[in-house]
Amino acid sequence: MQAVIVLIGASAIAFVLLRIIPGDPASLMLSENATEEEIQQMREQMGLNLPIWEQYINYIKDIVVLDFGNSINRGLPSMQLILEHLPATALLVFWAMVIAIVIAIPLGMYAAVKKNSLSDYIVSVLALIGQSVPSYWLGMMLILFIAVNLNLLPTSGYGSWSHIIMPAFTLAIYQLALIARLMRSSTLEVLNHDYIRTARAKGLPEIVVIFKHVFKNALIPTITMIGLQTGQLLGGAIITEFIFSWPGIGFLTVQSIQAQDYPMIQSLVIISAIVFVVINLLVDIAYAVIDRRIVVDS
Amino acid sequence: MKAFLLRLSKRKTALIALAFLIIILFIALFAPMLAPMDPTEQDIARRLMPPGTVNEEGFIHWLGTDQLGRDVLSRVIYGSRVSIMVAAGAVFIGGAIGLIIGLLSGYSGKWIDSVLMRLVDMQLAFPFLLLALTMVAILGSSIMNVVLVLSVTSWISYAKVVRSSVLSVKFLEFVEATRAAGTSKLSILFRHILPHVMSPFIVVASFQVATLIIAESSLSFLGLGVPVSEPTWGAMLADGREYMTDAWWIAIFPGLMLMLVALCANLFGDGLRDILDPY
Repeated sequence: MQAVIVLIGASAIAFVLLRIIPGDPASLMLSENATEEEIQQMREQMGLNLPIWEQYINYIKDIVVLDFGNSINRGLPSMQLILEHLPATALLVFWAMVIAIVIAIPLGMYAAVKKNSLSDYIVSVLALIGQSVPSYWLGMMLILFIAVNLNLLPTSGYGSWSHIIMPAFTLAIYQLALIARLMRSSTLEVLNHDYIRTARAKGLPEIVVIFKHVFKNALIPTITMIGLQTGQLLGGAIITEFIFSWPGIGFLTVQSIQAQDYPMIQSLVIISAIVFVVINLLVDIAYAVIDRRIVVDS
Repeated sequence: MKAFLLRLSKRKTALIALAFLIIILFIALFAPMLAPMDPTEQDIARRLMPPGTVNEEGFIHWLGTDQLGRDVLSRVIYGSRVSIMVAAGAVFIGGAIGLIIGLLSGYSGKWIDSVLMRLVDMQLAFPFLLLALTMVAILGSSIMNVVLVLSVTSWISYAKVVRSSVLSVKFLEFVEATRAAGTSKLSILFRHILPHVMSPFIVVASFQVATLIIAESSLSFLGLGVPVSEPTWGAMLADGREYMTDAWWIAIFPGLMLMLVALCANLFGDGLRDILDPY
């Protein structure tokens, strides 16, 4: 129910955004030397002559059947363009999250178990640096050193394994830092619980305590974060895709914004919201699988 | 306050970070006095000079020159102004909106809370940068618009933290006692609850400085932030991107400054959190 409310609200925000553009969307759709008659015809075709509430109802009807209108720039249906670009973004986000999760979770747990040691300090500082470095600058530095100077990987583009390494790593850094920090703090919290003391007191080896008892419980808040971040990245890998000319949703977004292709931008905004809501639902399901108490509670 | 300063003085990393941030603030304030050259002065004859080059007038370009012959050091110094101004403005406005909504939501409960929190959920559904980019594209580039857009896209972080802090204190005995004594709602909210939510609020604000500085630079990098005539770190990086192989210095220095400022804001935020919220 909550997801439906969020979607309705998000689509209303997207509707309002398109309506507050200075200028007439109909004349934007046509060439500069379009006649007044042509503009009027386009306004009727787009339904802009109708009262605002009627426009909103038509807009909702179109969303329900996933008809987002045509891109001004390319003349193709927005949905078709989004579907064409989505696999590239999904691939990039998938590998970025894999890199981030595989490195961050053990790192965060290790730092927590070795709290206040030198390695904890190093992990914490590295994580803070990871959260502070602008991803596009990191991407540019990778291109300069790895692609241009050392000639190890292609500078940009799409197609092979070698193309995905640098953008995935660039996108992963912030997530890696975030997950490592969260994993560290949630592990520390779990380590203070009584049941961990009990597990140790009954003589379980430390490794069993960590993997069997701490890991699973410390993972719960981290999963929420991973879910939220994946949702954000699917619509937000904008700069990384731009830097590496990666033909995904982010690249499409920058192109559409630069070309003032408003119907396309509106579709991108709505699709990101839908993806975000769907991922949140999946996270809730993942929660219930990991932690049976949640099912009982709800 | 004294106890706070005493605790802060024991945290060397946070202190160093704060000192660096204060230095940057001074650089931004006194940029016209500190910058060796006019950051917008172009001289094609001096384009793409590497760091340390001495020009024909005997002037040293410590960080080199860019593709239009402008002094990179002067541009880096002036660039701090936009970053600081935008971050400060957006923290102030976004913080104020978030604080008021968080207080209202947490204290009123019931339908006000439900409506406001659904609003938060709706906004969370949009990726931060996508929303900011779309809004700037619609409103147009200007410093004020960037501040507004970043405030509108960042208030939720404060609202969520303030709301949960209000929830954790509103049923405590001292609040119940003032309520029983007949104190008005506004007075309870601002005189008794507000001081308790300030600590987490300040911590979020310090982390937001880092996020907003990077967000502003991202908008400028894509050519959608502050007008191109203003030197900004993000726009310098966009210029440097095209000359990476011939003139690495154009992109390295503004990027390093961005990273250092964001790192210091994060380190200071970390220190503050440890001091203000030791649990």
